[in-house]
Amino acid sequence: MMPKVMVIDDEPFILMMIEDKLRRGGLEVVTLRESKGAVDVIRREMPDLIILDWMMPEISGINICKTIKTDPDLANIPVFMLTAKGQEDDEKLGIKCGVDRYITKPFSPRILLELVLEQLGNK
Amino acid sequence: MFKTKLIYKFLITFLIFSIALILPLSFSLRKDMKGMFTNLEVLIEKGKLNDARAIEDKFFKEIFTHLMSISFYAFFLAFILSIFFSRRFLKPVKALYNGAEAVKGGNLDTEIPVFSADELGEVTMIFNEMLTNLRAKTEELQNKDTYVKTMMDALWVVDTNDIVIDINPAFTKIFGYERSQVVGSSIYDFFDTENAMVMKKELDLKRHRGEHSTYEINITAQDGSQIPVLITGAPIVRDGEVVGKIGIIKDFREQAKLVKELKESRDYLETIMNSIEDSILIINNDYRILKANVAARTRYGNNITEKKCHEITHNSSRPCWMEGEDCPIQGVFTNGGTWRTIHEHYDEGGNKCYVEVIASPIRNSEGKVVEALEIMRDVTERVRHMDEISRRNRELILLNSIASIINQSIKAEEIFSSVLDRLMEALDMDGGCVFLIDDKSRTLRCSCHRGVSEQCTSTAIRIKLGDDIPGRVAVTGEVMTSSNLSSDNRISKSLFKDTKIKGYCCVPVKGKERVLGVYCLFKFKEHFFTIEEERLLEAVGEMTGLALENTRLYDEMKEMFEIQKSRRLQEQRDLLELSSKLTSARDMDEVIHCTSSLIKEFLAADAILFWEKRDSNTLALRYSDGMQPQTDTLKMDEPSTETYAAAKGTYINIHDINTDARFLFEELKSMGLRSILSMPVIVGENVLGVFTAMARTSRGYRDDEIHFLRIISSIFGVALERSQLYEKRRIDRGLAEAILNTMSEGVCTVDTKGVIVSANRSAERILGIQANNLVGRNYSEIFNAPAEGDACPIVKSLKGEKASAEFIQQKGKGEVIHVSSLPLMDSANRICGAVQVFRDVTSEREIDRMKTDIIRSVSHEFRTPLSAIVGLTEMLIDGDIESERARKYLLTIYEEGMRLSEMVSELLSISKIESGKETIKLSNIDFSELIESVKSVLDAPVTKKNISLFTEIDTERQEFYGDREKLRQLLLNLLDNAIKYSDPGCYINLRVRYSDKYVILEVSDTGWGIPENDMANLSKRFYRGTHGERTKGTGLGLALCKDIVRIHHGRIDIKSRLTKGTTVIVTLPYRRLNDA
Repeated sequence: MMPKVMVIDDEPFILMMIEDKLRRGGLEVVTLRESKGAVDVIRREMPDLIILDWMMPEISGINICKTIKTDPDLANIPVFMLTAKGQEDDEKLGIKCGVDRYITKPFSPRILLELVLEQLGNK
Repeated sequence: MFKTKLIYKFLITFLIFSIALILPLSFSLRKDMKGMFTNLEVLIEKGKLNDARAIEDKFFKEIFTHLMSISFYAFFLAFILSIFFSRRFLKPVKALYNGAEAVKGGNLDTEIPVFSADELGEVTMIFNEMLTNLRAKTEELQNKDTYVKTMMDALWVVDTNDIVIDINPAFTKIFGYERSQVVGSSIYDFFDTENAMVMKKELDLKRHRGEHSTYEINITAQDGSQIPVLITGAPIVRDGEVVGKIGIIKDFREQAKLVKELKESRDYLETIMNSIEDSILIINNDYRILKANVAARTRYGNNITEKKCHEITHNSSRPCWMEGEDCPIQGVFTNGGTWRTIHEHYDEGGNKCYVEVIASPIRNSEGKVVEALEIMRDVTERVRHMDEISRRNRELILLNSIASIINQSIKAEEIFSSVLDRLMEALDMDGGCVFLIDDKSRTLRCSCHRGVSEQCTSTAIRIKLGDDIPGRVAVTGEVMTSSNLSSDNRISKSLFKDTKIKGYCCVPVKGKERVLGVYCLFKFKEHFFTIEEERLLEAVGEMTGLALENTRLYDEMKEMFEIQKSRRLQEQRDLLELSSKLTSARDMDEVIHCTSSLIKEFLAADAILFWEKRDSNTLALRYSDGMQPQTDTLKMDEPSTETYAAAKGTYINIHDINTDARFLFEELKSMGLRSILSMPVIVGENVLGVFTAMARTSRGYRDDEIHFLRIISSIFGVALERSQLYEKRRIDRGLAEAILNTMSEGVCTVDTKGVIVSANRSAERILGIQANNLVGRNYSEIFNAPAEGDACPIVKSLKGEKASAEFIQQKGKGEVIHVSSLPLMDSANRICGAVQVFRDVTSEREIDRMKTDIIRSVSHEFRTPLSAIVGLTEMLIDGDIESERARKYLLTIYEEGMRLSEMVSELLSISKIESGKETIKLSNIDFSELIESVKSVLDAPVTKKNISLFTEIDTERQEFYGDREKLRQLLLNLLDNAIKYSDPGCYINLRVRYSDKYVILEVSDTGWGIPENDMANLSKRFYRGTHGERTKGTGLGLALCKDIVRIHHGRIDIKSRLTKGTTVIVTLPYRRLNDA
């Protein structure tokens, strides 16, 4: 069974780009444009990895991450934070909230795929 | 009871015997006789017996034979009977015999059986009774013997010749003699000669009386020791005759010892009692004295024993408690404790004395109080001393209270009134009054009075000195007392004589040298004033006299003090005035004028001059008032009071110039001046000038005047010197200040303590504080600590370092000030302060901050579109995308590129507006058209979020000129914000109103609202606020809006409630086309 990666971002082109790249990398991809209700979708889908945007309307990515990491059923799912927030303090806050890998935009889809595969491989 | 007597037994026995013997014998004899007689007849008839002889023979023969048989029978019978009866008689006799034998053998327990009731039986019974009695007696004897043997005391029995018959074992035990040694000896063998005589005398005395006797004597024991014994002798009387004596000898050694000890202790006790100087009595519960020691006997008489204690101590027939005193004896007997009291007693001579009595109980072995021990100590002296002490004490208390009255009050009236009250209270007087001498009228004036009627005192209100008692006492200064004024012959006439006053006393109130007044005290009863009272009153009189003098002195002093005080105050005021004038005055001439006038006024001088020392050789006239000298310079070698004072450095005062030959005063004399005073003005060791004061009268000056003058001249000197120095420095400083004040940097100097010493104009400007508010304050009050937490550069500079830092001025608008500081060195190369140069670098720092903000924000906002461009391009290059999808990719790249471009344009707009390079392009604005244009742009997000967007435009449109593009941007941004910061399905209302002066654009939404803490920063560039986390944006929108409104001279107001929504109101004034 293919590993399942869930991507949550409010920018459609980001979702498109990541979906295409990861599918090519042989992964199953679930995308979500809205942060609201994201946690319920995660519970339902139980992905192997989650790629999250930080700044989204409704619920910010960092709060979703915190919810995941404090939920015993979901805490084991690796979370990649893919964000335009490039400040050092932001990264520190992300790591503190349990982010497994902090990737700043703009990013290389190729490297993202490699990192995702590496994370899944380690798992 | 009938007893079978032995005689009856014999009779019965004889009867039985007789019957058994006589009857058969008689019958057989009769029968035989009859036969014989028959035979005889026959014979006779036959005649054989013719012979009578033969017949008689025959008869006798026959009788004999018969008698023989009868006798034999009788014997036999007698034998049988005797055996029978002898057995009966012998048995009790034998029993008696055996009993007697047993008793003889010492067996008293024998009981003889009684066989018959006859005499033998009785004898047996009596014998048995005898035995019983004997047994009892023997037992009794044995017991007595046991008692005697077991007696502890020795016992002897002597006969009439005093020979010892017997002793008991105790005798042997006590004295050591064996019985055999004692029995048979004379009792006198056991005494030495002396005791033997006593014994003999004792025995002889008591013997013929036949009495018991007890006596103490010593018996010589076998070992030769003398044993004290108590012999109790009793005569042994038998048949009324003394046959001997029995003596019980008690070993008296222990008792003798005890008695001796008792005697000794009694003697000892007696010795102790007698050696005690206090009287000791032992009294029984009948108050009778049982025993008294020597002291008691000496005090109360030898024969006090058996008398009652109250008789001897109180001379009373009744116990003291009956006379209302505490009776310690009664106390001891009723309560059992020890009682202590002091009694008034009478000694043998009947003198009253005070006795301290301590009574303690004497208890018997059962603990019952049987007697009381009373120790009495004569405390007469002590009591008298105590009385004396208490009297003295009362006096002292009185004097003390009077002293305290005197100390507390400085008013004579008050003192005398209070003292009079105390005296009356202390001496138990009914009234009194105080008269004080009025020196002017030579009378006594009543100061205060008690207990006499107003009328009496009103007549007595003035008594001439020498009149009446008070007048006499006031003159003589001697105390006068009278126990009864009405009958006192010494006083013939007195105001008080007719009153009811009896006891009277008049005491002088003595001052240091004279009598100041008198006290009068009186009583309506007779009263004898004791010498102590008189002395006391005299002392009070002296005390109050001194107090009166003191109060008078005090009043005088106070008056003097007030004068002095007002004078000093005037001086101080003058000095203060002068000093304030000197400090405030810049013009030295004015200073000189002030000082000179003050001196002239103070000394009440007629003329005043001030000579200033120009150089070491010249005095120049600087000021003159009241006279104008002919010359205005004086050479130091010219003889004058001024040159003298300047040369000597001290003042000179000439009371009368007419009598002084040292100086030339012709000019002064001609002006009618008489006295002169020259006072040098000295600072340190330098003479700066001389004041000369002159008067038309001859006068000298007091020390305090000179002193004051000296002070004035010193103050003046300092001011003069300062003014000279100031003038010099003013010129020097002018140049430096000019340079400093033209500098654009702030310059400020601090002393070693950090107190600001100077500040230039730029410093005032930069710090926004006037220089006179800066100087004198500590730098820390002006400059806040540097932002980085470094030590303040001034602190470093004061340590000798060169330092710089930036401050944020918190009191101002938060200006950033750059300070560089350098240590200030004095001539000796010591740090004497620090100088700091500072610049306002606020705008520079603001520009820096803006730059950083823009870079940060731009970099952040550019990242998302760049992601599309970079990421999608990379995928296209990598060939990840099929050709049909590639178009979509390229389209996205294009869109995101455009977004970037838009952001850059926005930034540029802001920067243009802010830099003032942007010009406004005015055109007539049709808001309906403008809004439609904006709405078309926002169509997509509005539809997407299902937002209800309403527009409302006043129909009465007015002409409004504005920059169309910028206003479009404004509306677009405001509506975009309303959409962005709202939940789907919310309402947005855009309203345009035309008022008289303004066009009002109002955008309201039912969105998230703005948190209160974000409100203040809303229009700051790149500020995203709390909701920035959830939305995308540049943070430039509202800032741009603000700038657009600003260039339209309008204003923007934002009202918001969190979760309820936000309303933005833009008010734009109308402007004409040619308004630039």
